Amino acid sequence: MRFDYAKIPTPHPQHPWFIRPLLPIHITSDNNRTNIVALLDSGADHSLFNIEIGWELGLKLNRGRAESFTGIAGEEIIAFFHPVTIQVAGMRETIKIEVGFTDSPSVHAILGQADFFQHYAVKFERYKERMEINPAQK
Amino acid sequence: MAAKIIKLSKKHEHQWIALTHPDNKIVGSGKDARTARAAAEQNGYKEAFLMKVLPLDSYYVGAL
Repeated sequence: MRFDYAKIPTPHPQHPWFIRPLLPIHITSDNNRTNIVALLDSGADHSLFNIEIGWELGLKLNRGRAESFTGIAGEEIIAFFHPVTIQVAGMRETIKIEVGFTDSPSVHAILGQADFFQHYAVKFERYKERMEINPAQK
Repeated sequence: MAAKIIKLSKKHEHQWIALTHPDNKIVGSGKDARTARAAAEQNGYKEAFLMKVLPLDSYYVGAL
């Protein structure tokens, strides 16, 4: 299934747009559900969501398994992992993955190698400003 | 197909917004996810998609 990239205005006259692979997804945990757009980040080891998304799902966040993460700034953050069910908007399939939730202000929602890219074939076509996502044929 | 614009401005930085899919129309915003979702629902959009807006004047490379 094809999805358009998102185009976000910037104040830079020479680069007026950020063009990013943002994917709309539904997330459920127990009987709670929310919808978000998440950045597909093939360079991220794990999927990380902002803590507020966990609150939307009614999760007791610090009861999850704690793991530390380091970004390019070298700063370490802690994320608490919880199982959630994810469904890409418009697709029938659902997957159960573990997502880390963090209060880092620079994290919105990142879908990384574990576990999102294990379940989907992702084709980035930045030059066409679109991406193609299909369930992985294992 | 072409990328869909999200009409963000400086006032949205660090806020949460609620978007329609696939049009990326902003139908709610607020200082946290709950406020943005409530604003979207009040505007008649119960299935909007939430997003936290990162700074618009700097590039993003997965920094934490």
